[in-house]
Amino acid sequence: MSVAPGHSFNSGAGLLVASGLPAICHDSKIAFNEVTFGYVPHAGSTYYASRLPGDFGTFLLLTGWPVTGKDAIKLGMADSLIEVPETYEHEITDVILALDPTSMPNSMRAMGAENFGIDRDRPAETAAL
Amino acid sequence: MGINIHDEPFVDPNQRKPDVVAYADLAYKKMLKDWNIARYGQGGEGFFDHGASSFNQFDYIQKYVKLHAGHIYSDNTVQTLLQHREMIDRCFWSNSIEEIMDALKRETHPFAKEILQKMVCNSMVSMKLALKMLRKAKNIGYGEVLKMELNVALNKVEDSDFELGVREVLMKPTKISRLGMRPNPGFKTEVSDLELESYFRENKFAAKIDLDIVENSLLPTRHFFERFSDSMRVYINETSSPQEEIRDAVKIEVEELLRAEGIDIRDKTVTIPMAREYIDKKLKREN
Repeated sequence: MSVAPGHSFNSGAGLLVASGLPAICHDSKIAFNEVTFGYVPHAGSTYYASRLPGDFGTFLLLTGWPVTGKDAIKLGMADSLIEVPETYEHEITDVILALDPTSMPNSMRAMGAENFGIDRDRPAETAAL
Repeated sequence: MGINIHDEPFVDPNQRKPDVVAYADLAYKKMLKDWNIARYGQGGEGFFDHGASSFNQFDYIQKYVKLHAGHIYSDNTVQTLLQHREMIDRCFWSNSIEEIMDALKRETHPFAKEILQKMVCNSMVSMKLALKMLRKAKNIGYGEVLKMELNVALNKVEDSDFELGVREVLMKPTKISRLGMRPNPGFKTEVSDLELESYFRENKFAAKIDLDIVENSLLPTRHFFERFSDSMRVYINETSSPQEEIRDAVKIEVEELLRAEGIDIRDKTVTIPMAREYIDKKLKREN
């Protein structure tokens, strides 16, 4: 799980793209701008960029052009667009705490998945994921 | 989240773009799957699978969180970069930086001039290396890409261009211009092909870093399921790609490939290495 609350450049952007549940803010900017200071793309960004439609990845890596939150969603860098990261954190915690164990399949309950590593006795805002 | 087929305007079926047809095909397959799940329960694969099969824990949480937390705003008034896609494709298809810049000079749109302005400020060696890496990365797996990037990055750290860039660009913050729009600090402008190729040599420090790469893997797989590492359905399904369509496509493709070999994906005796081997063999036979 990863959240880009502000600007996320180079290897940070690479990490964001590679994670399973990426989220991004409206006003954050994502760029692969290693070429502006004489370095080369890293952290798996060439893998991601070479698989974008057309030559969009080439454009992103060669110019280091910053991408807004909405574009990042369209380019598959993140799954959800959020307003405030803190609210999102509480939201996720609340959602998982409210997850109904009875609606899960038996096989999942059998391996103790309903806890998700969360202490249910603690209040929602202090529980850590 | 990729291309939404519902956003596309209606086109005569004979003139549709192939990728739109592919997405529609995928959407249809997904619809059938959803029907199966609605009929036979969550986690069900079909007629004989009543939710009793091994279950992808991470996928379940991912879907649940996506459904209830975070939002995607459909605001079509915002101008996006994607509107320039045709122009970008027209200019950036080439395998050399000079040709790309020439193509940009020929464009009349003001956005092309902005791009050119930005590219002039960038390091030429870095751009050439990045282009070379991009073209190489297209045909290799995630593991090899990481290895290549590690070697090139470690070799690049040692050269003078990087030192200059850090000293002149990174360490001198200016309030006037953005990071990319400051003038070129005097990067090298000419570099030979041999010199470029030498950046791809193996670095002595690269061997010391353990990348822990799964062989024949298609996309990054992370170790969420160490408890169930032997169950194929959990491991080969490429949950880690942020693009849902790709995930679905890979899953459906893998299922169909294995079915053609006479293997049922729900068979728990089939391990991941076995499945990978089958798929690898199959792909080699096709080539």
